[in-house]
Order: sequence, then C-alpha cells, then structure tokens
Amino acid sequence: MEQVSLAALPQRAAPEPNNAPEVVRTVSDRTLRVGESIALDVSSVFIDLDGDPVTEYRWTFGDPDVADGSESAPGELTLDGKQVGTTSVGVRAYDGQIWSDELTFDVEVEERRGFFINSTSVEESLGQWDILDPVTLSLLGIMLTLVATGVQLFKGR
Amino acid sequence: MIEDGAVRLESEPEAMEDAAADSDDSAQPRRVGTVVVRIIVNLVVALPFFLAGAFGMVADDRLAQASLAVMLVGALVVLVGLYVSILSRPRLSLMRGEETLALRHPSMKPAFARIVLSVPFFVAAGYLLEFTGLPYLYPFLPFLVGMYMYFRGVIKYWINHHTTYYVTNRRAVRMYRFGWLDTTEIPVNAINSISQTRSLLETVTGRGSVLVASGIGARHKVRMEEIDNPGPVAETVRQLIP
Repeated sequence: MEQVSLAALPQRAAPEPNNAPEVVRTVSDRTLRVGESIALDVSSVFIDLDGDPVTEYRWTFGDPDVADGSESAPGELTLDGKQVGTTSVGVRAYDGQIWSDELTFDVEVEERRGFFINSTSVEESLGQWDILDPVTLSLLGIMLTLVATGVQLFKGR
Repeated sequence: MIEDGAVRLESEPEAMEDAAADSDDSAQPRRVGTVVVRIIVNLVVALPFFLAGAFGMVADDRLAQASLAVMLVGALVVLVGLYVSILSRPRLSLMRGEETLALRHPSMKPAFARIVLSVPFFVAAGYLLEFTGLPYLYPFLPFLVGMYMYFRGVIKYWINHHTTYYVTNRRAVRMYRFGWLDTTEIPVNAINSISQTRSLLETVTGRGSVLVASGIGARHKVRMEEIDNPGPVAETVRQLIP
C-alpha cells in the first residue's frame, strides 16, 4: 500500500470566524405626536468589521399600540405615533450569517394638539381640523386684525 | 386779526415746525430729518415681522412659505409707512382776513402705548404655544388680541400723522389726508357746544379731547382727539363764540 505523506496533501484554509455587526453609534430617544410620522435611518449605526454588508434589519416595538412602524428601505424606518404613551423600539442588524446585539431607544408619543381639544389617539384625531395649525392660525390672525384695523385708516378716525 | 384776546396756540414742536415750513427756507433740511426719523420708526415698527419671518425660515423648512408671508406683511407695513412719512400733513388754506389761532396734531403717545402694550400678549401666546400642550385656541386668543392692539397702534400712528386740527378766527377744522382729503369744519358763528374730555390716563399724561359741535351728526362735530394740553384750545374756541 502506497504511503502518502500528509505534507503532500493540498492544504485547506481554516474558516475565518465571522463577527456580528457592531453598534457604533447610539440612536437618541424620539418624541412625536399622535398621528405623526417620522423617518429614522439606522443604516450608519451598525458596522460589520468583517466587511460583510448588512442585509437585513429587524425591528421590535415594545407596545405597538403606542408606536408602530414600517421599513421603507433597509435600515430606514417610518415611525408612526398611535396613542399617548412611551414605548421602546429595538433594532438588530444581520450580515447574512449572524444577528447583531439589539440597539434600543425610547419613543414618547404626545397628545396631538387640536384647535379646541387635544386627542390622545389616532381615532380621536380623525375629526380634528388639520388646517388649523400654528402657521395657518398666525396668518389668519394677522390678516383678520389687519383688515379690522385697516378700516380705520380709510375712515380716518 | 385775533379777536377778543384769543391766544395763538402752536405749542407742539411739530405743529410749529409745520407752520414754519410755510415761511422758513431753512425748514427744508428739518423736514428731511423728520421724514428720515419717521422712516426709521416705521422700520422699527415692522422689525418684529422681519425677525419672526427670518426665525421661521431658519428654524424649520416647513415654515418657509408662512415666514415669507409674515415678511410680506412687514414689507407692507414699511411701504405704507414710507408713503405716510413722505406725504406731508394737510394744511388749511386760509381765507382773506382769517388767522390761525390754534394748530394741533393728535399725540403719538396712545399709538406707541398700544404697540408696547401688545408685547405681553405676544409673550403669553408664545409661552402657551411652546411651553404648554394646550389646544391652539389658548395661544391663538392672546395672539389675536396682541395683533389687534399692535395694528391699532400702527394704524393710529399713521392716521395721526395725517390729521390736523385748526382753530381760526372763523372756523374749527379737522383735516385728514391719506391720499384723499376729508375735512370737517364748523363756522365759529354756528358753534353751539364745546366740551372737553379727559380720561384718568389722559389727565395724568396731559392729554385730552375737545369737542366742538354745531348740531347732531358727525358732520356737525369737530372732535380734536388726544391732543396735548387741550385746555387752552378749548378756551380759545370759547372766546370765539359770539
């Protein structure tokens, strides 16, 4: 039987250990109002030291009744305020092989300000007059008072 | 000719300046100076609009259009103010033998007081908007009151610039000119009532109103409103009544 030297066999490289994407930045807590949506981008928050691209993000919402969201693109979340309260939002990144640690931040949902009353949930805010926001009210106030007092200029007294 | 010891009254510096402008060549530089001061006052009065507009543009892109609208209102205030500043005050054409015994303009103090008094309402509105979560009605109400007082003051300032009261030995006249001329006059021999009114605040600040009437209705009354030191004016008119 022919003896084969081990040294003569082709050498196979040992598989390199894969590292999970790492969190390199924090995400500050967010505040939004009932019915309001804000965009959030965490694509630069995770970095994979092995150079693997992050292919997927997984979001978790502590209380989806308070705040919920949907991903418009990998790492980009549209966060929706549902009802008054505070909840936590978590996110993990995936490099195709392993998930990162979870990064969490708090989201506070405040009352939606209306003209007569504030609403504490999306359902309550459906009947609100969205047009009466501070900008419109400011312009309305300026125009009303300008017209009301401008009449005096024509009368001269 | 001044009748029966009636006193010539041109106590206000501006009234004297106006009177001097008719006869004194050196009054031209003073008039230019007065116009410049009025333009500066108008710019100061319009400044809150420009500041609010600039703040809105820098603070939030969503406020850009509203900020522009607010700045346009400021520009409107400046433009009308410029027109008011350049337009001279109405002057009475005297008849043969007629003499001016009193010439007054309304005091500017009430106009400035209204503008200053509007500030606390704006502060209250800003506080309620930014530091409380109350519905918008709450900050809107003081904002509305503040804007109303502010514009009342500005409009009053413009009106007062173009209102002149005359008492001559033949008539009592109120003249208002703002592009158009509105004159109310009562012949001396038709005057049947003179009254002088002063509120508590006016008494403290030495102002008041003199009402000269020949009958019922706006056209039969010359109300010399918010003039400084109204007593001598009323006395002058009294001495003219036959």
